[in-house]
Amino acid sequence: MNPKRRIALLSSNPDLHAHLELRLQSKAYQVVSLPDPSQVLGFIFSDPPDIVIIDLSSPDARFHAVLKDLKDDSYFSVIPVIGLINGSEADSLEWDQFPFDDFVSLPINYPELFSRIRLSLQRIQRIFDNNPLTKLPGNTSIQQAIERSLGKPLAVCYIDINDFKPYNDTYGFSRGDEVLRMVARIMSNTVKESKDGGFVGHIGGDDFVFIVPHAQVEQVCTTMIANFNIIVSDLFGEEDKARGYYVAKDRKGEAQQIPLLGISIAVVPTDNPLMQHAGKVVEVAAELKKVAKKSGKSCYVVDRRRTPRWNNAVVDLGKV
Amino acid sequence: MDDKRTEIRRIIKDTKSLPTLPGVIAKLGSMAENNAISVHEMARVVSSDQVLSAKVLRLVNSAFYGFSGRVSTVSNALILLGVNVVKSLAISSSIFEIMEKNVVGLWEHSMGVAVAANVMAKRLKLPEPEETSTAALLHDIGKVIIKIKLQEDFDHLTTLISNKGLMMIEAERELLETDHAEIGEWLAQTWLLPEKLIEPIACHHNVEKSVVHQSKTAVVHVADVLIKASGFGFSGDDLVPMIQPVAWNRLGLTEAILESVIEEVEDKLVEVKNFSLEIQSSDEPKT
Amino acid sequence: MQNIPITLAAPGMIMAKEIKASDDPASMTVCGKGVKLSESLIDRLRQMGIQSLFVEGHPIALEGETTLEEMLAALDKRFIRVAGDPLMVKIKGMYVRHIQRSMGAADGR
Repeated sequence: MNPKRRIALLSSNPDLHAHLELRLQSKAYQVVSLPDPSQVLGFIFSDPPDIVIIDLSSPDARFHAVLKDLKDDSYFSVIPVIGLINGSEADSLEWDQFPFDDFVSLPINYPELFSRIRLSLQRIQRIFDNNPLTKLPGNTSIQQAIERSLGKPLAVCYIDINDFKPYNDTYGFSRGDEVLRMVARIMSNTVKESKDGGFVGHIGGDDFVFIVPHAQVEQVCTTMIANFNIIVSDLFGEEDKARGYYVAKDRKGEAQQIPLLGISIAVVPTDNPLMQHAGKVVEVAAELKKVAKKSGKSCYVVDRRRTPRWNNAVVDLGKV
Repeated sequence: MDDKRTEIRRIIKDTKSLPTLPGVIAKLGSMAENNAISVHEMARVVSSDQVLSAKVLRLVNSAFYGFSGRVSTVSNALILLGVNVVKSLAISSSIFEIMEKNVVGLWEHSMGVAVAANVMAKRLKLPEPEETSTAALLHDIGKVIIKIKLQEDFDHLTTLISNKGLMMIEAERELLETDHAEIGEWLAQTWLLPEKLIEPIACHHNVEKSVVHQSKTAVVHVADVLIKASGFGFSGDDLVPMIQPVAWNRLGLTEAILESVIEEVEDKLVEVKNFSLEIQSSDEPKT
Repeated sequence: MQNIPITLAAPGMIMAKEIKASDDPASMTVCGKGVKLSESLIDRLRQMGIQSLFVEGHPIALEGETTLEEMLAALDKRFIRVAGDPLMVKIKGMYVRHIQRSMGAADGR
């Protein structure tokens, strides 16, 4: 059962306030009343609620100021704000002056308000966790997805981009970002278009994760690597492609031969008794990645060990 | 009062989409319902259609995806956009309400030039044949704009062509102060397509003007002439233009090479005709 | 000989060029030159994905095609603006030869 959600209420109309508070409490929300606008921000900053409802039907300009200040702060702007406005004003409102996340017209339609509150809470969870560059789910979602996959016939796969750092250094962040976005799209599309689909996430930088059924994993990895090679092929000139490297100056100013971009995928099947918890998955993936990187080309590595004995390790190296 | 060029530029800025053949949309619609259809087959149908290809390329090169003018083929666009996005784009496309000879004619002509460009680029061992083929597919997209957005002018053009025996491009320059090459260039720029597609579109009637992508432009130009010579499809007039010496020299063409290219292209055109008939019948109402 | 779409192939037609398994010249021959087409052979070729084939003579009147004379006249008309240019005249010649070949003029029709 989820802990009670806290809703902060800001209204200068005592009747409206009282009524709204009762209705919200009847839906098991904890209501925090903020009557004095000058105290509002301090209160919110020190003890952030899950949602703020601001009554803008009253002509008190300070409420409007609260809204703007809240949204100006990058950390607190993620708190959803639902505005209450007079129905007749909706058309003439200067919307860019009122950065709500949602609004409800007065008189309040309570079922609608409750739906909008639930929607806002869900939306914020989604957006907040997403990687800003690629819009893919971030670490919270990834952790949950890995935990859910333990003991099932799935495979957790970690991708990272080979020689990404020198590429970034040579061609600049803007090009580097493009490559990250490309990998994100290629990974998502390959997983989505595979037989049973799966989960995709972006840990950060050039590290990505996807989870697919064990039965599909080799096909997915092979397709992903093939598609990556096609797209990345456009980023390098004919001569560089023929040689397999490009020349760039490293941080010391010396010319280095840098291999073209590739991807390494570490595949950890989760229906393995050794995979007791998410941490173990991460650990094994790190080992596999080292093996993958050694090959110097795009490839995927699958963990097939079923017992803790290292000497019997059988690691499948799928080269593409 | 705007002069014609300014008026056309303004129209292009407001152009977010163009219609295509009902048969293409119908075919993609039925493909979309069949989950077993491969990405490869979808790509084939989309890359045969200049309007859909332009639409797909526009989306993948837009600020939203952040690939800023880098994607120049439908197959790469498919990898990056994903099948679902391309499917939705395609089946939400608008169609020509009235099907007439020159609508199908232009469609066939564009496909023909794409095929010819592909054959030539490969025969001459030029880099990026697929991109060259895409540029060739899109080379006359300016004509679609004229037909859809400048209906009255289009009718005047048709009259001029039949009365004075002009080529389409000559009639355009006389009536509109611009031509389909420049109009296509403006559209491709507005849609943020890569430069390697824009330049051949802009310069396929004036190869000298090309700067960076001279080979691609030359190939598209020659391919256009060949398809007109072949009489395949209909691009607005029935007249074969000169192959510009700049293009001939740039590509190092010889009569022998050209003759064998022509043979190969004519063979492939049979399949293109097949496909065209298939598409046109896809639109027939089924009971 | 004539290049026709497989949908128009009929029993009795004779193969004018061999069909190979793929574009690779070293690949296997699927159907040799001179072979007479039968219903089952046509079916098999269609299932393999063959889109078009070359047959002897000129058995099919394809859409838009008419007589050899009409096709050559249309070609002349198309080339009218460039009839004075030596290169374009040579290119027209290439198309003339192609039309004659495809209309089976060499095979006598």
